Amino acid sequence: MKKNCLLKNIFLTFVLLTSVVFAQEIPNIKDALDYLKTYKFGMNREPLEPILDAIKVTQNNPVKQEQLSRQLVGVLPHCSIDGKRFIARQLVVIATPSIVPAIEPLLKDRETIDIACRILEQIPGKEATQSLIKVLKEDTLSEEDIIAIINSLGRRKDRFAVDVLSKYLNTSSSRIQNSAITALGCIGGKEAGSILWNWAKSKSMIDNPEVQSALLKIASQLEDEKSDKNLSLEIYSALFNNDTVASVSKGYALKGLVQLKGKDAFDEVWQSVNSGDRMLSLAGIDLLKDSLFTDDLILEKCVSTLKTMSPRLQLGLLELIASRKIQSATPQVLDLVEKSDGEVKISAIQCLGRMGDTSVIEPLLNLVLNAPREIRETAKDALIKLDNPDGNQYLIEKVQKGNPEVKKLSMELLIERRAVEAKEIVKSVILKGDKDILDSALNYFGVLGNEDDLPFLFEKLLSEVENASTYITSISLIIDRTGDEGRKVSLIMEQWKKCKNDTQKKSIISLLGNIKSPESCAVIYELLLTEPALKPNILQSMGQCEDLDTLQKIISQIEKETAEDVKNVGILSALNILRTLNLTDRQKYDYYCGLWKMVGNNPMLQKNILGGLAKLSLLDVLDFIEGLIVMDTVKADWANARFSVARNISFSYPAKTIPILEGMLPNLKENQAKEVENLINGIKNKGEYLSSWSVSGPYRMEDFSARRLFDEVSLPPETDMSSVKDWRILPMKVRGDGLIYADLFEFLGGEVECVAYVACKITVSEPIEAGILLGSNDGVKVWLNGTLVHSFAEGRTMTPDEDRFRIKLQNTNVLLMAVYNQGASWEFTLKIQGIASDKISIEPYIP
Amino acid sequence: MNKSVSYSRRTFIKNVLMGSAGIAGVPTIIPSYVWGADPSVLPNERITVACIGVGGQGKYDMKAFLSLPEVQVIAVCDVDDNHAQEAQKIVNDFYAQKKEVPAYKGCDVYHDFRDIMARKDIDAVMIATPDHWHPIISISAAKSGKDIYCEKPLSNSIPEGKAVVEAVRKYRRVFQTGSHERSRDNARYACELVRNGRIGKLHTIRVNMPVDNHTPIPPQPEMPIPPGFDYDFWLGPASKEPYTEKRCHFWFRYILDYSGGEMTDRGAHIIDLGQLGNGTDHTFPISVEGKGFFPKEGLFNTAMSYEFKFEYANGVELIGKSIGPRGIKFEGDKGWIFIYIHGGDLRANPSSLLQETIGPNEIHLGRSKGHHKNFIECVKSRKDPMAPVEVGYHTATMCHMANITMRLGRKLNWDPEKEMFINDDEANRMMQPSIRAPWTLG
Repeated sequence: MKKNCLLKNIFLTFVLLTSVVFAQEIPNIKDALDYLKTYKFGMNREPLEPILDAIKVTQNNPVKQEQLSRQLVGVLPHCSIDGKRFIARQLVVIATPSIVPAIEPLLKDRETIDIACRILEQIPGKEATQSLIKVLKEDTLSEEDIIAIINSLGRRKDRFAVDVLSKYLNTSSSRIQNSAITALGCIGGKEAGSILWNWAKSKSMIDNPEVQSALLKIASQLEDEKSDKNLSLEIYSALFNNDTVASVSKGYALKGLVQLKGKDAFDEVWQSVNSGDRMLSLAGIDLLKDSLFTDDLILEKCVSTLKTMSPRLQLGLLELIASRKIQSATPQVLDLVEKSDGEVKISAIQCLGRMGDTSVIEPLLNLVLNAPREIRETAKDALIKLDNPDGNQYLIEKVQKGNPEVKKLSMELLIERRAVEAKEIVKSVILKGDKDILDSALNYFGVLGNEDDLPFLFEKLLSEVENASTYITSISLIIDRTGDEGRKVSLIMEQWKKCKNDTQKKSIISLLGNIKSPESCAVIYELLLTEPALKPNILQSMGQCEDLDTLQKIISQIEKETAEDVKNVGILSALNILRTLNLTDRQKYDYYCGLWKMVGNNPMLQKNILGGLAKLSLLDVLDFIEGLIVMDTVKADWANARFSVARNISFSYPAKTIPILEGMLPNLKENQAKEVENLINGIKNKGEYLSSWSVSGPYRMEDFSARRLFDEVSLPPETDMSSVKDWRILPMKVRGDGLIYADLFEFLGGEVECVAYVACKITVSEPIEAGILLGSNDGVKVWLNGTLVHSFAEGRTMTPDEDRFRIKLQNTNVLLMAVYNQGASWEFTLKIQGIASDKISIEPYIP
Repeated sequence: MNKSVSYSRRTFIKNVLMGSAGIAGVPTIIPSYVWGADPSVLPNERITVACIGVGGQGKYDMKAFLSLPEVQVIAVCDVDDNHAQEAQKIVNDFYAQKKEVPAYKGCDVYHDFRDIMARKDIDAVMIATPDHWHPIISISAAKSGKDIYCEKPLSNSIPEGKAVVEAVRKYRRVFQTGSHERSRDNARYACELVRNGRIGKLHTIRVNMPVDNHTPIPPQPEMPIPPGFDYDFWLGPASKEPYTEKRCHFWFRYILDYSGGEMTDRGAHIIDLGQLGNGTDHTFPISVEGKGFFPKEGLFNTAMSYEFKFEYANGVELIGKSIGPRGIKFEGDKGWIFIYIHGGDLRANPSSLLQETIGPNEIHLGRSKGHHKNFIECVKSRKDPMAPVEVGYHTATMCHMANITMRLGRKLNWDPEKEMFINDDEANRMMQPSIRAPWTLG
């Protein structure tokens, strides 16, 4: 022991000696101090660096700190106000008690009192407190100055100041009085507490919020320090029982009472719960979560009155019952489910699920089967989340013994609860061919089955033709989870070999179609060549392939097909692929034109093509639609397609589209008509808005956020915009206040973490400099004729005119803009200013 | 590079069902499990919100609250009347359109946040003022019984943050710090992988916090205060200084009197995720050291480049730099995961880590339907949201610790229990707030 102490002392002595020997000297700061005499904030701070370095080398060395403090204080009277502020910031860190007298004059000057207070707040020892008190006693101080000093005394937490602060409790200035109350609260302790408490009682000041706040702070501090439990208790009780005290403060007091009195505070807690004051009641309910209060106590007092409470309290108590899982409250909660409505009924149902008592399964099943939709969904969700594994066993029994409705519901619940232990029972249901729940049983395998279950399901598929469709869904879902595309196809084709008739083969073809991989599409196409009798099924399965190659193959097949019904299936499949393929508007338009020629007078197919054309945004598409002759049964679809395309391109081709839009107005519903009228007005009064744009995108890169795209990637529209094929017209929208903007999120299909490019051609009759006012959601980059002229990287909401910059225009110019989407809304609005409308023409960029 | 075509399980199923509805006559039932249907959406009680500080970020937050059907924004407040009136118009226009009442005027406008606190009909406040105002307004809101959504960082000094925690807990308020990166599913998933040992034993957390928008600017002249802007109120508890445009609004974040630079700005997001992934949300590191480059002239005085290192009691080091792609990397002895900030993209080595599922008995960090939505849900349920006050406090404290170690140029040891630097009076004094009278934390 002694040896250890000796070693420790030797080590400490060594550390001290070395620190003295190697301690850095304070740098020479004379020039820096001179510089402070004329220093203004914003000037070069480099000459002041020696002072900052000096601060660093005084670490834990009071002698040096005093030496440096004195140097700084010495120059204070000669400094500019900003120089004084700079020094103050340093003294806050190192000032010692010995410099307090030098700071004192600053307290008496309005310009510097805040600096002085700040320094004195940090100086250890009683000197700084005494100095503040000394100045406080002077008559010359303004109300603001007194408040500043009182605040500093409070922040110093020096109990030496309690006496002088208490004198300000009776001042005529309420502002000073409140400062003194707050300062006493900050200082805390028994003395400050007693003074403030006795004063508040004698002067009936408890209804003053500052007093409440300070007293609560003191009571809490005394409670933490365990220094005067009685005073804390007295304060908490008085505040809790005083009607003028705000409920939020009563809640604070109540918590204190629970901490001090433990379970003996139950009466106060119960009083709060039953108070009729929402905030206080919730505070009470929250405190009941404490394990101090037993379930029995809560049951006896609270749960028994659950039915008669206000809805808000019922919600709070239900949360309490659920979080404590008080299963003995089940009857009361069930009663509430039966007799309440709205949010309370829903919360009571959720509470039943969270309590985890299996006795609630039966009533919840009844609700699912018989209650209105919202209640039904909540009850079902409660059953899914029922926090008790025994629930699965209960449901398995229901699957075996219930009536058809209950069986089906129980099966669905087992699926949702991911009850893998039910697999054998479900299998037996399928083997028995129980028609009531066969679909549900197969759904179960679709969700929870694995490759081991496939032989069984394939066998059933090939043997039960009448249920093939249901088996196909389940098998497809399982196969989808097996991962490797080649393996998926081989699993299916193994079954092909076992097929003995066309019906079985059709099922296999459907399965292949559901895979939708290049491998499965290739196999299906081979079958087209070898199984002519199954052409319609094969073509239909090919329609699920989402690739251009298959689309081409289908089209060549249709071209040589003579049987009308087979041809129609082929066209439908081609249209199906076209809908899913990521082609440019121009490409889609070409395909639709080609297919139109093949459909003859089939109204279903014509409608289908018109539906596809309606989504495109090119002038040629509108021209094409206008030139079509359709049967009466298709006229409405034709009009809709024409209207839709006209609306998309309306801002870019107003002369062509406004008559179409106006012509449609009488046929539109009120809301839609209003929207179109708004659009037309917007086009006619677009003013400075630049609203003729083409768009390319959206562009995403795997694992790249929009922000990374902004920082790191240049995409083709930036590098070679004329080579980009998918430029199409960007529809614009008009807001109620007349703002014209593009809603990229809506037009480009709700993509996030991506970028789209918009572009237009601006032709001016003479060179001119124009102003651009831009708002975007989110980041943007703007190029004029290939040169970046503006950028903003961060996510933001669209605020009109937020970004302002100028561009120089001459002859024909291309304005390109990348608009990034970091999430949610994706939009922009842009105005061009400073050019007369007759000297500028704007059109969407189409290479 | 991909054009946007996604192939999700959902589209697969949809196509299975749609595609087979033709000749083969396959079922048309679409079971709810396929769609991953949300549980029933409950009818909600309206929560009234007042927005305090409605400049850039404030408007963003305000719009986020406007988009929630269970919220009614009934008041806005700003010391810049231009901001306040613009925000009021946005709110009134929004409800006019939504409620189809063209003359809707239900949003009141205020200049002084204390008038908001006096209103009994306001359930919650959103605070998006400059950082130096966060604690005073938060504490005032707590005492007034309001729940609080406060932008990050929680405070501009360590003790002020602690005072906010005390007020929020004593007055039993729901408090959400605006560190919304916490609400991203990807970030939570990545942290779950780390917490459940998928990268082995975590040893290093690297945070990249590149500084943009922040370049030194020359000395700024004193300027006339713009009409409608109450500059003295804007300064509030901060030292009196002459007005110049680049002191206020967006730029305040680069001046130490009001903020802490990139460190407390996006640091409050990135370091925050470090705390989540390390499982240290409710404590602090035990030491910090670092060096930073501070501008030598001009108005801005926060660090423009830096390196820093925190050590945790569990042996993990958090190392930060002002270079690299913005984000955070968790390194373990069996792999690493990187989270890109502002987007939440993930990278991992081995990449198969990102296919991992978290088992039922492992640590789950929960998911949020959005940071603002999560707050409102908690206002109703009285539960803690994704970034409760302690989380905001611990993260902000780390940011301030890093700033202080850089300013003092030495390693600092921290006592997580006493919440003070060990044996370093200067550092402890440097962390104290400056609160100009008449303002006080109360």
